[in-house]
Amino acid sequence: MKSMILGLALCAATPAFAQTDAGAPAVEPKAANPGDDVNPTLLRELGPAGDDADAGMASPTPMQVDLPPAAAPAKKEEPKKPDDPAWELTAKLAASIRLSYAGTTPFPFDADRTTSTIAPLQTRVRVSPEIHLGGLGLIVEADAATGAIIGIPPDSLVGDRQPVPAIRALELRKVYLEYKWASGAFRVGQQTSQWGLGLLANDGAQDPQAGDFGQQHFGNLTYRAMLVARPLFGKGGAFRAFETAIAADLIVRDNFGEFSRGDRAFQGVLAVRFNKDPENNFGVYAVYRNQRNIFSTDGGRATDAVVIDFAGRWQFLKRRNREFKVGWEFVGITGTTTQARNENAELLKIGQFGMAIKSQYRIGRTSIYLDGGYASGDQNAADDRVENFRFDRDYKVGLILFDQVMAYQSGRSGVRASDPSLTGVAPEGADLLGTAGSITGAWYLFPRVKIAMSDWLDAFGGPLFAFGTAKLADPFNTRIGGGTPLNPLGGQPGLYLGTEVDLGVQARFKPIPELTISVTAEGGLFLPGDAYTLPGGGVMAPVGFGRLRLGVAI
Amino acid sequence: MKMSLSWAVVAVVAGCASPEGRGLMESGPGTGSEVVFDVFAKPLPNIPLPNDFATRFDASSVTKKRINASMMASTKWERSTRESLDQLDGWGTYQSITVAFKKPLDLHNIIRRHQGDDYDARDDAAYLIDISPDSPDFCERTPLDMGEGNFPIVLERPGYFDNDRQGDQLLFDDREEDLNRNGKLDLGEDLDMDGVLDHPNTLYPGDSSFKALTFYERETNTLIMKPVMPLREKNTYAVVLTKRLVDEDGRPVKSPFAFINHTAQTKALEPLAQCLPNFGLSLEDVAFTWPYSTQSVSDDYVAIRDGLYGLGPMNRLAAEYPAVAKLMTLRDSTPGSSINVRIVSGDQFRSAAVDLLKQLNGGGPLTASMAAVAEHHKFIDFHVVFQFVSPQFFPRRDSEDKLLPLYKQLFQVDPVSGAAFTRPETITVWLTVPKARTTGPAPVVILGHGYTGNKLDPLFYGGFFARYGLATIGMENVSHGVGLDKTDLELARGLLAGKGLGNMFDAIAKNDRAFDQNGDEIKDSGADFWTSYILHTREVVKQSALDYMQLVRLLRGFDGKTWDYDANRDGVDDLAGDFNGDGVIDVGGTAPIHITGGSLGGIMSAMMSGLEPQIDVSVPVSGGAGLPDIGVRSIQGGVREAVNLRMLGPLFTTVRNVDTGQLEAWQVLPNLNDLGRVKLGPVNVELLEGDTAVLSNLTSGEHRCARVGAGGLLRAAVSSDQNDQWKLDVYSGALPPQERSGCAVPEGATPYWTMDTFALDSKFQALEHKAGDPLIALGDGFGLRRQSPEIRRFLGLAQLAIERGDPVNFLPYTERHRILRYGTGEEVGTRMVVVNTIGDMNVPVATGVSRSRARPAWSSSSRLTRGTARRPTACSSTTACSSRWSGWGVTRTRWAPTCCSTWITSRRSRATARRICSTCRGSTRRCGW
Repeated sequence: MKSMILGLALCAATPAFAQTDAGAPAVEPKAANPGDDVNPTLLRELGPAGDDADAGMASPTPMQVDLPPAAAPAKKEEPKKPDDPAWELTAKLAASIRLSYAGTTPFPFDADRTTSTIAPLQTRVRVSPEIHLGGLGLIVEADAATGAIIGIPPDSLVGDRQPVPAIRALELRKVYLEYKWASGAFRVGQQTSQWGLGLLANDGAQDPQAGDFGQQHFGNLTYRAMLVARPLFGKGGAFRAFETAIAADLIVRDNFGEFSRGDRAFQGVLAVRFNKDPENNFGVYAVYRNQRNIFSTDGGRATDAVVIDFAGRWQFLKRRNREFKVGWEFVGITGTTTQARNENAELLKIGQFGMAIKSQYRIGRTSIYLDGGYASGDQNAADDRVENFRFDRDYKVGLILFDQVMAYQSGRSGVRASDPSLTGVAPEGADLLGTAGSITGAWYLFPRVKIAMSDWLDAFGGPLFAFGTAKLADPFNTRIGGGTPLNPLGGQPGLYLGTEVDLGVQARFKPIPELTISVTAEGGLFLPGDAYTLPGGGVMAPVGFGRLRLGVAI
Repeated sequence: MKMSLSWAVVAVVAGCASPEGRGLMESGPGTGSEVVFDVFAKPLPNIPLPNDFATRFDASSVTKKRINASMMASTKWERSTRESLDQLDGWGTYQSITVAFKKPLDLHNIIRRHQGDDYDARDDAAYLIDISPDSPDFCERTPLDMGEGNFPIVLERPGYFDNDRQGDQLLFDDREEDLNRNGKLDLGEDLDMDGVLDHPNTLYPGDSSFKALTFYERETNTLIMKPVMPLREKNTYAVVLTKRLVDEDGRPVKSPFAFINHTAQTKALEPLAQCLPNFGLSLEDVAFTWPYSTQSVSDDYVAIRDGLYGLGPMNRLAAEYPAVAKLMTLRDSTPGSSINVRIVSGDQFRSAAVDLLKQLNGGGPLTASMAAVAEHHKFIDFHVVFQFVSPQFFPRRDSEDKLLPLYKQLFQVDPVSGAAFTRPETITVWLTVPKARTTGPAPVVILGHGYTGNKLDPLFYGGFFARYGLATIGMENVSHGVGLDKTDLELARGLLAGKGLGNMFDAIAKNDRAFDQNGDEIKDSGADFWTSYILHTREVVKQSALDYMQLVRLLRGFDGKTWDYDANRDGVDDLAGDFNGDGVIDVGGTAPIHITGGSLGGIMSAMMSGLEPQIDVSVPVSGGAGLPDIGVRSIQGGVREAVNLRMLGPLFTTVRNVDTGQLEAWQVLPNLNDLGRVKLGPVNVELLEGDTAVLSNLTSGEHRCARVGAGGLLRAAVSSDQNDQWKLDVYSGALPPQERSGCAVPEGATPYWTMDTFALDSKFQALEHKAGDPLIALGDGFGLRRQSPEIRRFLGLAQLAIERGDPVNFLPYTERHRILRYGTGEEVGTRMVVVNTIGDMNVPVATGVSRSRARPAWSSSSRLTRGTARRPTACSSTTACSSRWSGWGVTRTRWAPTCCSTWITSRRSRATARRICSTCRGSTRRCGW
């Protein structure tokens, strides 16, 4: 029940390793303003939406931080002062269309072998207009017809925290004003939020590129006022790469709160980063989150938490035919919550840890990836601790285990726990059980290979090995079974979640420079481990998945 | 923040997870009968109950818990009831404990361990232990009745309405259905159409139903244990099944889980390890255990009474409902006369009383006892009738002024926030003031009337009490009134009017609390008091108690200050409580206040003895506690209909017309608290014995089956709300059995007789139904099968529901055995003598003994601090204390064991019973209260 993790979002961001176009040339920092036109920097990363049509395009990702190479210049040249803002009016418009169809072979959602067809046909039209008047800018991003038209299980079966949301006519992602000046910038309004690899704060703006798998659907949205600056740029040298950000948030939507459902999650954010360039940076950010729910009159659904998140990426090797780079993110959360009070605890303590490492070694046209991750688990829903860290639901690892099997089985658990034929009032937190595709209670290794068959065609694939950091305890089954962990199928779980083999191919076309078309086909087979033991012996049958995605970006 | 950051760093570095949930001890291997823990069972989960597993966390609850049962049900009544039950903040304090097993238990083992040993705990198989560390009874056990006879079930009148199976008790099966002894339910063997192969619920095959097991239900292998006294409110208890509890193969029973408890309950059960050694046990000896927390029972009373006195979250009540008496004019006023028209002298009323008593006696000469009643009126100085306004906490009508269904007429009180629905109701009081007053106000005795009674009790008892210098007060409980028909009323009025007391008659008889509840334009006294609308029944009892509290507040307000009344017409307002204007307060003030009454009056006076700190002495007569225990056996007119018939009905029956021999269809249901029978029409086909009738509730979609008996007589019932549409189909022969509904109707089966419309014009409760109208249920009913697990479960839930209105829970507060303290600083300390009536089956005497036993005399932590009660030195054992002590009362008067009545209900230790009864008989002075 207390399967909530605190997703504290915010900040300037480093995109997921594979989500960025590799090999971007380092640029020395020439401007104090991170948002300078010449050097796309911190502020800029926080700004306009990039093109997330899933081709591996060079366009900047929305939260990308292509920081100037602050440490490199030994010559200590004085940075050029930025020109005064020219009070000229400029406008930009970006747009993309995404169309996908996926299918999963049937698998049981619960111990009664309940199942449903999962074959979502999804659409999304994203429009990102911007208007700038000198340093002043208005940035907007909106999605239309976004979500699954058909093919997702009904909420009555698996709840509304599904990995693929139902279609919405319109979703406003960004509407904010920004003002940039020589050494900083200020931004206010509804913004997306991303930090590091996106374990906690993930803007859900870009689908994984060739080499990675998955498809993003959500994105953290927040009403935010933020001030960012390079306060030490004038000292030259490595000081130039020192960036700070401070922000105040009211969460619109993230993994753990939704404004429209009464959640009022306020965050205070402080971030510091050493940003040599987009491929070489690291930083830390700290968040204090205070969340209440206006519909709760008894102190429930309240959270107070502190997050510390270390994230970075570094390119250790860069040659013409060889590259080696690593990205990482480590997150710790502590605090208290009343989101899932139970008979043993009126106030639950939060203690969660999550981490992810992504690495890439490229030799010519072949890239070798090795990803790993860890999300703490919670195998006792009835104690006074909430320990299951949840990756943001837009942080994708593989295609099936986390995004299909865990997602729908956990959602089903919430529905069963709330079954009105069994209980009068659903247990607290039952509505938060669905992971919606988040990685939780697991650690994994995901080695992959990508071969660039040509400039426009990549093929990639690899096995995902996943293990539990705690026993896969389905809260409902565990409760009715006496409190010792039982998996969603009613069996006694082991720690081996299973192995998934994923394969994909992506083709990209640029008929004209302003237009990119991509087609991605990906599929996989999940072979469940002993975590999915059946009550009568054996394990759950393998689960297959396939998806075809078309992306068009202007 | 620093600490938080430190924690964050620790979390980042360590990220360690807590261990999975663990129980107190692993359950270990074993093949014994396993406890059933089936949350999917319908209509209610089959799990050990009461059980905190079936509660939810609620921060607004004083116990932090609420019952959490599904609110889904086929009828509005049941849904509403379930919703209300889910508002309870804990389990019943006097509720039976039930636990089902997968295989039968060794009953002889249970009998050996739990019967005939004076509740010696040393070798018991099951225990109920207080595990709240802050409880005065921490680690003490409450004895459990497992067939000891404290809760008899045998009926005096076995028949319950048309075509009843006439079993000697209401709860357990008494028929052997396995006629061919093959162990299977063959077609046609299911006599009661419950879809289950039934066997008599007796220890030995062939035992009469008088020997029905009360502690075990064979049909479901359910062990039924009942605390012999009420548990503490807002407290947590552990039910401990030891490995001494064995199945028929002698193997210890087994936990359904990997541990001896549910791991979510480990924290609650942790104190058990500390308590078990008290009973020579360790965790190793425990087969299964679970905790449950009891609900609050006194919080509403405390909050409201405090509010009446201007304290606490409901302090507005003090101003909104001031305790002000409005004196009624009893005599004709003559201009210029100085006669006090607000009082009637006892001597003036006496002759009228004789006439009234004669009329009540049928017009003939007075019997000796009635003559004594009349004679004693000479001790009465004067009579007063006054009114006061008391806040009522449940609504009667909806926003459109329509009478709400009784299941919606419930308290809307939050004792924590003080939010409450209130409406005023004027209550009229008849007060008799004795001549034998000294210089101060006379002590007053509040007379509680019986069920459907009224405030006329001072007519009968006022003189007797006046003889001893006691004033009396007659006052009606909720919805009660003077239920005389118009002729009697006119006659009575004529009698009093002829003596100039017409106003007095009007004041008493025309101001009551009864009202017409069924549209026949006749007041229905107490019709909604004892009903199967169990939560409403709880509320009317509570409300009646609160009305008494307001009365006590008013009496205490007769404090010598002036009030707005000039009794002696001297132009100066007199003292509050000085009715005759002699400058002396007549009643109230600081004078003692007592309460007594019989039957319902006995129940209410027992309630008040544990609730109202200003009541000095209480003498409940012929009352009872454990109200469902009364309802299940009472032969009281009205109770059988309003309580039992609503559980069993509404009934569709066929009855042969004694004049014509024609078989007729009837609907049998309660008409408030009377029997209602409505002829539906003739049965124009020959119904054959063994055929199957299927009564369908077309509104809810449920159906229930019934077997046609000899002569074509049948009786069918299905859970219904009033106006649910019905259809009865009769099929040839037996249909395949099916649990709950009784039978499954095969596809394509065609009934040979169907009734789905009224065949005759009929009228019920002012509503007319024309022939041809769709057949409907004319009233609400649960349609429970007699002698089945469902009715046994219902009664268990009934106790859970009614706790706050059951005197059993307040009796421990008398004499401060437990402490009930109000915001005023007052503590309840009423001294009480319980008077039971042997042989009474209106309020079965066993429930009267429950009343007495409710005072936990043997508890080592009992607080007998006032010295008003002393434990008899001979009280050396639990039985002696729980039973013999049950009749002990006001020691400064004398004690009066009611042991005989106790033991008459016990089927064991008859030698001991005889010995104690002999003691009784040998000390008539002591027994002669």
